[in-house]
Amino acid sequence: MANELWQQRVQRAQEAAAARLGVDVSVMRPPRSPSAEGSAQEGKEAAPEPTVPAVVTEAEAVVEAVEPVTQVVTKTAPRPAKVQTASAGNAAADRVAAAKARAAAKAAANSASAAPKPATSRATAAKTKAAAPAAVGQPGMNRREFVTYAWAAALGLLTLEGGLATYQFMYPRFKAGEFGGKFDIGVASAVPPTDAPPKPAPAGKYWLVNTDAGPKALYMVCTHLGCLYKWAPSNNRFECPCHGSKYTREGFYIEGPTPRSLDQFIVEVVDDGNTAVTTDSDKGAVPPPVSSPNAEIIINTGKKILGKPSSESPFRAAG
Amino acid sequence: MGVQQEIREKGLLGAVAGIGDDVFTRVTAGISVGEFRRMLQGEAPGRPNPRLKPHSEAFLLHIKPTYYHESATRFNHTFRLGLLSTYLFLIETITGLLLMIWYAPAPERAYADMIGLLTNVPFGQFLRDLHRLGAEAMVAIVTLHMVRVYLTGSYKPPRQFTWFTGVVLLVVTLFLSFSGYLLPWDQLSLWAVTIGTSMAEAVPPAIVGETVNLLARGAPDIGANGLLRFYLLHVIFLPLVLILFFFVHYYKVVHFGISLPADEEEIGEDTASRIPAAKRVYYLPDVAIDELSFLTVFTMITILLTVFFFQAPLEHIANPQSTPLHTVAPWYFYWLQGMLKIADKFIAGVAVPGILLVLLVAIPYLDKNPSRRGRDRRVAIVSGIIAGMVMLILGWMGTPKYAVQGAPSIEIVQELMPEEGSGLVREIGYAHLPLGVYSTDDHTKYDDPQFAELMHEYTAAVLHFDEQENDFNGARGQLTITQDQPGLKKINWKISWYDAQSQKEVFQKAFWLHRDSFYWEQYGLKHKYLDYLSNLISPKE
Repeated sequence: MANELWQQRVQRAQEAAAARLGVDVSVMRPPRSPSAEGSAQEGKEAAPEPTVPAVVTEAEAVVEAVEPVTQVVTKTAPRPAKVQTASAGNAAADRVAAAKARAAAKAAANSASAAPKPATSRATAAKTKAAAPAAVGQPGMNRREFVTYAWAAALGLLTLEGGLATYQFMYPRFKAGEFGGKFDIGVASAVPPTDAPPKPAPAGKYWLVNTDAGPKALYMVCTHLGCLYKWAPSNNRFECPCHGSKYTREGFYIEGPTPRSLDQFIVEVVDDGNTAVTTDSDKGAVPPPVSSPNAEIIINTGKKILGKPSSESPFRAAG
Repeated sequence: MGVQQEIREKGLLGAVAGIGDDVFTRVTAGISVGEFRRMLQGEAPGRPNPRLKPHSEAFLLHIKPTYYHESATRFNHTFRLGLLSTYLFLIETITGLLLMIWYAPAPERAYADMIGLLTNVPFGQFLRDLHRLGAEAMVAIVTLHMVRVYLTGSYKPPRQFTWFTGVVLLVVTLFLSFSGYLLPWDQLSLWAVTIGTSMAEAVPPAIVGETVNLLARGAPDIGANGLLRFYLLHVIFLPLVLILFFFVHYYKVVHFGISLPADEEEIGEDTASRIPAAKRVYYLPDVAIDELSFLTVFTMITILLTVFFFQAPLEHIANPQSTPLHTVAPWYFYWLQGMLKIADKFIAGVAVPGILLVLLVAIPYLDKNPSRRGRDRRVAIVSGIIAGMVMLILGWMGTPKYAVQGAPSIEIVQELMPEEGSGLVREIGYAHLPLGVYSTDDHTKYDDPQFAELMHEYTAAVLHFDEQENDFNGARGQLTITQDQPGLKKINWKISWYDAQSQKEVFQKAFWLHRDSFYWEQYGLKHKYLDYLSNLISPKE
């Protein structure tokens, strides 16, 4: 990004400061520290014990050099320690030097000027490859950081659990007898015979059709664009008034602009604890067989099987 | 330098890391990944301090102070009550919003919605209980907060206006709790709110009181209109007012700084906002972590309480034709109910609370003592303690035990099997009510220890009133338990006694209890645990 420009500015500032102070410009550039841990470890500046004195004295030298000129009232003792903390780190070097240059320029009361800039890991990443020796001290995270991450993970887990609970709370609940829920239509003997016309159930929005294989519940909405189709007794088929889609009594596509046959709701046949349900197959939904006349029939309007494409309908009109 | 050159220079990982660091720094408004890690590791910030940037550049942190005075961060200085009040409001808002999904404020469906929430919605009971517990906790915590501020004298100049907004917030909190009380539409709600709005009617002149009452109820009696208006008050109007006053309140708090312990300042001086560098504790990361951990612990405790111990009650559906015995106000209004029992509704319902409110608001202006130290404020502290005790006594007077006793026979039955609520009989449960006819004269030993406890209480209550009342002598209580239907027991109470003229009198009352009605779950874990323990000691089927 703008690193090159930045570097040039830093160098110019260092040179100017050095010239003003009458020192060598290398003073402005503390040595790159062995704590450079490579680009893998970003941002952590280890405080390598052995180098502390060297850097400290250097910083102190700078500070002392600065003092008479700028009358900076340093809050002395702690400051050098802070200096080494960060400047021991990687590319804080240049920023540190720039900071010192700025401190020299201003008579800032806060000795913060003598303290280092924190090294950003962008600087780290940019410069670290050039950095030399092995890390000394404690690279990596300390206990406090680790525990904080662990705690953050626990909080994250709690939030996740809260989110799941909220989702379950919010999910719609369908009542039996309401559209979206289950409709218990009674025992199998109550279902009309296989040659009778379909029986409409407006509350559940389905037509109840009894076929040889078992009962079907056809969704009342046309699969074209959402109109409610009608039963045409004279033609013994369903016909949609909107665009003319036509379906057989059992819901298969005959002709019309619709892309697929009628959708169905899952039918459950419950006989003494055994439940048979509508199964989805390549040819269309297979209704559950009715095992006994006393089996309960339940239409589950919450679960729908889509009709198969019109091209596959065995009853599609030729041409 | 383009991305490609970066990749060439640093390698792909290095470039991605660089971009990641960039993004992180932007999202956190100035804290790079390195600085973030240094923050977590407990190291000092660099100079200039990048941890100050989120306070000036980000929105969420801009109102939080950058640093606090070290003495103000101690737990037993503020007990974090202000923070807790705000957090409780947040909990209430979130749980309330979720509960709104399953509730509509119409009398014909409100109660059914409550039942649906409690039985048919996953986490419905949990959220409702949490909402209720949070509401009661919030009233308690804001009151404690006010007490703390009073005791540390933190309402003194320059903080008088902060105190005023705080009193407003207290009143709004009470009204929020009260307006929410009506929404379940059960007997408790309907009659407690009827009493409350009738007190509003007592405000003179008559035209004002009646208008306020009508505005609140939307009709002469509380019905569909009243429920809707209270709902609107509860979910939008009062929260907006609260948020507005909270903004002002918190802004003032941060502006003046949290007041320091009185011993650390000169009398009459307020240096809370001028904190010397040596005493600064920065929000990021120290105070932030502290607040977060405090709130986490509090949340955990609240959830545990809600799941295992607390259950918000739901009584019978609201019946405008019948007021149940022992109708009570919510506990934070017991003091009001206590006063209403001893004075007429204007004095007790309007005048005294009004005067109290004015006094509260006026405290910072009445208190001319510049010192916040305890030893210099003995009068203030003692009068505060006395006021608290008066409130407690009035509160006790507000409970049904005081001065609304009916006839002894009624009270005996109400104690053991109240019209609304649980009582010992329902806490014991269906299984521990053996069929038969029992009398307080019998001295048989009952097999079931819990039923034995019930009969013991019954006998004790009868004897107690026998001794106390002249009109209630030679009393005998009878309890008949029959199987009315499969799974339904009929519990018939019959108390006979001789009055002062030796006339025999009889009182009868019948209740039904179903096998599946879990009152012990609703109100008392005591008997459940007793059951469990007695099963451990002597296992039986």
